[in-house]
Amino acid sequence: MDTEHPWVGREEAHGLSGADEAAILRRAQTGDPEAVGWLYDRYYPSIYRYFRIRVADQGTAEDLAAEVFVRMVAHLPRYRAQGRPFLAWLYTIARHLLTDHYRAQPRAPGALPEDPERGPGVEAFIDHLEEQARHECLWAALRRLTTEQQEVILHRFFEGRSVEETAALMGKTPNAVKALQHRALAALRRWMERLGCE
Amino acid sequence: MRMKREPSFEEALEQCLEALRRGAGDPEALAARYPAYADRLRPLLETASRLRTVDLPPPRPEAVRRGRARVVAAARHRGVPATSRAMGGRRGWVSALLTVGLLLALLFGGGALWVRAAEASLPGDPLYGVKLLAESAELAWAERWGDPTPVLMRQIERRSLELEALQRQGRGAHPAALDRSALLLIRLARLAERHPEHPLLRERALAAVARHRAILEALAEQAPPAARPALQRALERAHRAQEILSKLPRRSPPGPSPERPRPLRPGR
Repeated sequence: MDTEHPWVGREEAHGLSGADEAAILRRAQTGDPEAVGWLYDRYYPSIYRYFRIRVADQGTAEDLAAEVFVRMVAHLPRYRAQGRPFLAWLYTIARHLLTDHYRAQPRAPGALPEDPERGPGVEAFIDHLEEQARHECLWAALRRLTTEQQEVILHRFFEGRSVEETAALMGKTPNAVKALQHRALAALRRWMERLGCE
Repeated sequence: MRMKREPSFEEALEQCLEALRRGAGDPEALAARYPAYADRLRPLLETASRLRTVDLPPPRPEAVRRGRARVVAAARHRGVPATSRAMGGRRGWVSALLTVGLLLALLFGGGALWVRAAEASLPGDPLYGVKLLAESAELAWAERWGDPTPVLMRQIERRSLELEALQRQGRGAHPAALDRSALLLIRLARLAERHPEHPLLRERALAAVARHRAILEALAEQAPPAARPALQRALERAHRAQEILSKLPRRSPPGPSPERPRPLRPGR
């Protein structure tokens, strides 16, 4: 991993340095479709997961993730790095978009649907239902956390980021992330108990 | 000898989570490493352990492709190379000054009669320059404040009519008209390229370009030598405009409702 940019984490799989990414960002700022496509390829999975743990419908999560990049294109000319990772800026766009989405749909979304590309066989149907029920309960509990609690859980448990990487993305100190992580796990535990999750 | 500092609860939790991630123990065993905190750590580590068993369904490849196409189209729609933007800015000011100048001429110079007389002129006539100047001002105004599409279409159609009139009169094509038509064609193509969501622009632009190209081709044999380079340029641009327009999607892509074309800065 690039030691100058410890926050980059799994997105660094593209094998480019921070300077290379800065050059691509400059191209994207001038409207270069190829550079914009590169940013999409690199960051779409992270942004999709951000929405996936928050909205029940897979298609909605996919569409919202794409919409973040449409907004990115619109706002890129005014983007300034200011020492924070580019992904943090994308998460900010995602957060605003999610707020708009919740405002448009005030009722909490339902259960997490099954992955359409991972359908169970008939033999495994009962096991699948039980597992799905456990997952649905966990998702229901997750969606009751505060935005910051959800974010720290996303970074630490779904994205596998370190405390330092999470701190850089959330604009917090590592100690604040540790405290937030503690509160998020405790709140999740309480909600899981209240909802009767196994 | 320094005493080993007791970790805070958050530090102990983080160390246990890191060990859990590495698979270095189960929640019970890890909590037992910190007897003072064990009762509080255990349920949190169990919850973290539960979280680690959850797989997020990946996005569907079709959705990823569809989103990418939408984002790249948005970039094409908005994208303007920085150099062009700078040029566009300068030319925009020139156009604005031109517009103001023409309006002043109309108001104070008795130019209205001149412009009206120039409207009927053909390439090579003494007042044809005034006609092109008035059209430039009209286009600059539409680009700055409104939808330039109808103005562009009308001016291309006017060039087609002029060239047909010249042909009927046996006067041959004039470089001024040909250069102007080449410029208009490429601007129309670029406008259509930037607005793939516009429901009619592509079709109307393709029809206008095809008609104009047919007229230019009909002129090719009769064009006087002085007009041939301009005719060649106009034909090349008509061909290029057709190529660009043909590659544009026929239907509006998914996304926001069709948007009215924004003002197109000159020179883009």
